[in-house]
Parts: sequence; structure tokens; C-alpha cells
Amino acid sequence: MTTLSTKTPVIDPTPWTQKALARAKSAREGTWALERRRAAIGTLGTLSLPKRDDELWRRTDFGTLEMWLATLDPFSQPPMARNVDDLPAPVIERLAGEGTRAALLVQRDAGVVLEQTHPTLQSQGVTVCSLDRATREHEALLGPHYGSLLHDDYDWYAALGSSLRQGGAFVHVPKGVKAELPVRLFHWLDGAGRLVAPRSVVVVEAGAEVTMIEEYLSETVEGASLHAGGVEVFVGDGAKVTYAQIQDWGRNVFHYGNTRARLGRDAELQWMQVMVGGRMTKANGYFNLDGTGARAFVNGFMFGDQRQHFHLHTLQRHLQPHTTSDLLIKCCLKDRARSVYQGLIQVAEKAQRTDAYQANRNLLLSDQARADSIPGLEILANDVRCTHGATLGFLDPDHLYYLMARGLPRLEAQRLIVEAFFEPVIERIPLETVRERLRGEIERKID
Amino acid sequence: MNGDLIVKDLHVSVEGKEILKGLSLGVKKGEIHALMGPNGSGKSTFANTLMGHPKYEVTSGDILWKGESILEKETDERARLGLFMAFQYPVAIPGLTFGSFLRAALNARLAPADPHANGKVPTKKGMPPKEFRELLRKQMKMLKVDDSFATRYLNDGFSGGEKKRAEILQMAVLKPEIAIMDETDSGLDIDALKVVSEGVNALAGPHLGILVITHYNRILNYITPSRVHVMIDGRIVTSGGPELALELETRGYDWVREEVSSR
Ligand SMILES: Nc1ncnc2c1ncn2[C@@H]1O[C@H](COP(=O)(O)OP(=O)(O)OP(=O)(O)O)[C@@H](O)[C@H]1O
Ligand SMILES: [Mg+2]
Repeated sequence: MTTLSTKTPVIDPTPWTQKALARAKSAREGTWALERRRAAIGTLGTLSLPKRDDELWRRTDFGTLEMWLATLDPFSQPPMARNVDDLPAPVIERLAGEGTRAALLVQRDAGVVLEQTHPTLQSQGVTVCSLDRATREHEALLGPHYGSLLHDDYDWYAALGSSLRQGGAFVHVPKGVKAELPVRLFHWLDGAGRLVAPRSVVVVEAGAEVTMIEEYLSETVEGASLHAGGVEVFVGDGAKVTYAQIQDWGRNVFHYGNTRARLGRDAELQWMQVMVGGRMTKANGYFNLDGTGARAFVNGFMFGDQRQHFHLHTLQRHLQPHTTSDLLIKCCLKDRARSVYQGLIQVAEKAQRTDAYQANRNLLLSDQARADSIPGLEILANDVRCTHGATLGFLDPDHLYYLMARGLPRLEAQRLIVEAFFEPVIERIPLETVRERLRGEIERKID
Repeated sequence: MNGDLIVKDLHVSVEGKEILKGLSLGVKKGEIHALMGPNGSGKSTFANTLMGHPKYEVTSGDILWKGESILEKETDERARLGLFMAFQYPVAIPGLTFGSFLRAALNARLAPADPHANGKVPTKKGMPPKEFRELLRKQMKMLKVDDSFATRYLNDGFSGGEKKRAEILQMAVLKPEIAIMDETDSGLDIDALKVVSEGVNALAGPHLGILVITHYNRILNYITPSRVHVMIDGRIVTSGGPELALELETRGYDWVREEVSSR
């Protein structure tokens, strides 16, 4: 890995941000949103590219990307899709004929090309549209939420994302409504040299329920692209959200992603974080348990090969008493792949009777792969149950032998073991077609 | 010595220590042999060496399958030839369902040997899922195993007895030609022992040769061996008919040891 401390490229994003502003104006972005954008641009000006002495960037070097950065185009936007048939073939394939069994929002390069609500969801009063549209049409709902969890000054990439923001989804589920169909978000890149900055906001009111599946897809091409996106999820009192985020980019994509969730009283969040694609991933997921009785279940897996690099940072933040968080991240690496899992549990002083669990399991298929696990606890309350643990190991030769003794060739045995390793996480992911896709992806990677 | 499986003067070491010291044995399809011996005499080492466990190093001697040496063959190749071992200590693999594992194994077993396949064996093709489920259900019934077995994770949380039944269930589905049962009787209560023995007897016949490894006579009350071999310190020291097992039952192994040392 190259260290670029001696020649960090100087990137002046001003031409981009000015153009982004001008474009947002001509697209008649809501005035309040334009204000936020200006503020983000201001913040961006005060920040510099992440440095290696920043604890959250010490193990992930975006140097390769930063050399490309100036050549990327943040405004590449293909024509709108009239319907599902106009979408890129791989997206259609992923829909597996279930495109009519969900609300759909598809982003292609920098812009949303398809917003397809569903009559059933519409009649339930569920809103699904692009965030751009929502800045104009849903200010009252979106304004107070947008940016309240994900702050522009988090780091340079977060500020860049807010400054260049285009696309992403706004989803609103009214009080007490249990959305009968899932909402599916797709991100697609048409080639290299793209910079995309979608932002999504999901607001699920008290007692409401929804299932969200978000997938990031593209073909592998020469060159680099950057995704710098963010998702904010608000789970109201007694509401329930199931959210699966699946990063399956082509190998040339750098993925920078922030997810933030806030849970109200007795709210439940089932969060699935899958990372199998891309060149490098830097993902930060913060889960704020901000209401008594709130429960967050976070399950995730990464599977890396060749020189893929995944960095996942999570924060389980217990702000109120009687809250539960249960996190399990599994990671399997082959070849020279590398992963970093950095997990923190924070328990505020008044968050008594908290249960917080964090587990990270790493399976290495090659002695050149490397997985780092950095757990942390900051507990200010005294009546809590908190555990965290990490394991690291190679394939168990006894497992391999057992399967081979039943006639399964070594590779096949290995495949079954790796699938078994991931299965408990996969089986929590909504939609069988999505699960099958992931199993296929794992299988392809093993061979 | 004759048989479909022939072991000739086998010497085996583990981590430099010799465990098997010249073991010879032949098993033919249709026969049932019992291999008895005290703890640590090398029974499991023998079974695992037959299966090709990488930790056991054959320093001399040979293992022949239908006349051809299989020493160079990997564990999975031996299994696909029709050699089976019921493990003394089966491992648990959470996340892998018993049914999907066994279906993959069966498809591997059914796949015709293709010299051009480069060691690849299609485990997804083969018996259609529906047909497999029916076959599995039938065998589960025979072994009085609960239907939920198929969807449970492999040996995960199985009781000792369930694990042993699961081993025999695999044997029933994979239909080996020679099966080694390494202490399948240990850990079984009397009812389970009966069920398992009945299962084994149902599978036994002209197409299957069986080597039952055990300490006790117990299982031999249900499964009648044609030959009984006594193993001490890495060698077969004496062989005989079923009556030998009874003698061991009443007199223990010491008399055999004495007899051997006085030879
Ligand atoms: N993998 C191994 N590593 C080191 N030593 C081994 C290994 N396997 C077997 N041995 C040694 O070889 C000897 C024979 O062991 P083995 O398990 O074959 O005996 P056994 O007859 O099956 O005993 P039991 O009746 O207790 O099952 C023992 O001394 C054992 O410690
Ligand atoms: Mg043994």
C-alpha cells in the first residue's frame, strides 16, 4: 500500500461545488436545501482530505482514489427511464421479475432515473420519491430530518457528499402504517470516472413499519469511480424498520458511505450491512438508541478477494435506559483482501439497564489476507450488560476433512463452509431472490 | 488376503510417532468385520488413514481398493469410490443444513468420474431436490429420525445419539461399498443402539462390506460379524469368529496381551 503523506494531491472542489449549486438552483431545489448545500460547501472549505493520523482513517488509504479524484465527473446523468424496461440489464436481473412487488427508486450515475411508487403503498399513504424532489415537495417532513444525524463536518468526504448531493431517496411512512410492500433502492454506475453523492432519508413514524432493500451495482471497468453517499433513518416510537444495504459495486468503485439511524421509544431496527463489491469501502454506521426500550439488531458481512479492502466502523450509541443493541459482523477474506472492523459501544450515564452486544468473526482463506478488529467500549452507566468479542481464524481442517470424507472436493467443501459462515446473516435478509443473489455471489467468489 | 479393501502391512505415524505397526486386513463386500481393541490401540487412526486424513502419514505398506492402491488419493476421491467412515466424533458446522450438505455429497457421489473435469465435481446437478427429499425422508424414517433433521444445521446441537444416527443416515443415503463405523455404538442408549443396528442390518447385504470398530460386545449382539479382529498397539494380534468377541467380553484384553507377549 502506498503512503501518500509526502505528496497528498491538492484538490480544489470549488468548480464542482459552484456548478452543483448552479444546477440545484436551476432544478429548483427547495430554498432550505440550497441553504444547507451552501453551508456544506462552507464546511468543506474548512476541511482537508483525511490524514493517516485520524484514528478512523489510519487503516484505510484512499490515496489511489485521491490521485484520480480531480478527473472524476460529479454530473454525469443519463436520460430518465420511462419504466423498468429502460433500466440497465443487471438491475432488471436483480429485480428478478419482482419489480411490481415493491416501490422502486433507481439512481443511475448522478441522478435518479426512475421513481416508481406502488399503488398499494400509495393508498397506504407511503411516500417514495427522489430526495431532490422531496426538497421541493416535502420540506416540512424532510427539512427537520435531513442532516440532523449525519453532519457535514464528519469528515471531508461527508462534506463533499453534502455539497454535491444529487439523488438518493426520500421515504416516508405515516403513523401506524405497516407498508405492505418493500421499498427497493438501486444505485447503478454506467462506467468509470463518476463521482456520485446520493443522500437518502427514511422517516418511519410512530407505530409504522417498512422494509427497505438498497443495492449498489455496477460493472467492473478500467478507472475509478467514487460513491460518497449517506443514509439517515428515523425509526419512530414503536416503529419497526428492516433495512438491508448491499454494496456489490464493480471492482473499480471506491465506496464511501455513512449510515445513521435514530430509534425512538420501543422502536426496532433490523439492519443488514453487506459488502462484497468495490475496490475500497469506507463505511460508518451509527445507531442511536434514543428512546426507552429501543432495540437495534445489526448484522453484516463482508467477503473480500484479490486486493479488496473493507473498512466498517460502527457505533452503538445507547442514550436512553432499557435499550438493546446486538451486532454481529462476519468477514471472510481470500487472496490479499483486507478488512478493518472498528466497533464502538457507547452507553450514556442515564442509559441504565442497557444490553449491548458486539461480535466480529473473521475467517481467512489465505495467509496473505488480513483482518483487523478494533473494539471499544465507553460505558458511563453502571447497570448494564455489555459484551464484545472478536475471533480470527482459518478454515477449520476438521470441518474440511469431514466434508471431504463425504465425497465433496476440497473447493466444494470450502464453499459450503464459507456459505455456512455467512448463512446466519444471509437468512435475515429480506426477499429470497436477494438472498439467492448473494449466495451466488459468494459461490462465484470462492471458485 | 483378499477383499475389495485390502490393507497390507500398514505402518502409520502421527507427528513422527508410529501408531500403526504393520496392520493387515481385507474386507469384501457382503462381509461384516469387527475390529476391537483397548483405548489408544490405534483403531481411529486406522479408520482415518483409510479415509486419507492428511495428518496420518503412511510410512510403509499399502491400501488397495479393488486391487489398486489408493494411497495417493485424496479423502474426497476415496469417498466417491465408495469408502465411508462413520466418525467417532462428528464435527458440527453451524450454518450448513444437514439436508443441503447431504444432497451435495450425494450428487458428488453420483457424479461419474470425469478425467477432464480437473477435479471438479458437479454437486449441484444430480438428483433433483424433490427426489432427494423423498429419499432422505425414507431413510430418516428407517432410522427413526425426526423430519426436522434435514433443516437443522449439521450436527449443531445434536445430542450424542443424534450425531451417531446422523452418521448412519449419511451412510444410508450415500450407499458406500465399504463402510467403517468407528464406535458408532458409544454414546447410544439401548433403544438408539437397537434402531441404529437395525438400520445397519437393513443396509447390509451383498453390496456392502462393513467394518465395525468397537470396544464392547454390545453392538455385536445386534450386528453379527463374520470375523472379529483384536487390535493391540497398532497391530491385529488375533482374529476369529464371533465367539472371539464373547471371549473378550468376559475376559477383557489382558489375556490377549499375555498370549501375544508369550508368542
Ligand atoms: N492426530 C493425532 N495427533 C497426535 N496423536 C494422535 C493423533 N491421533 C491419534 N494419536 C495417538 O495415537 C494413538 C492411537 O489413537 P486412536 O485414536 O487411533 O486410538 P483408538 O483405538 O481409536 O482409541 P479409542 O478407543 O479411545 O477411540 C493414541 O496414543 C493417540 O494419542
Ligand atoms: Mg477411536
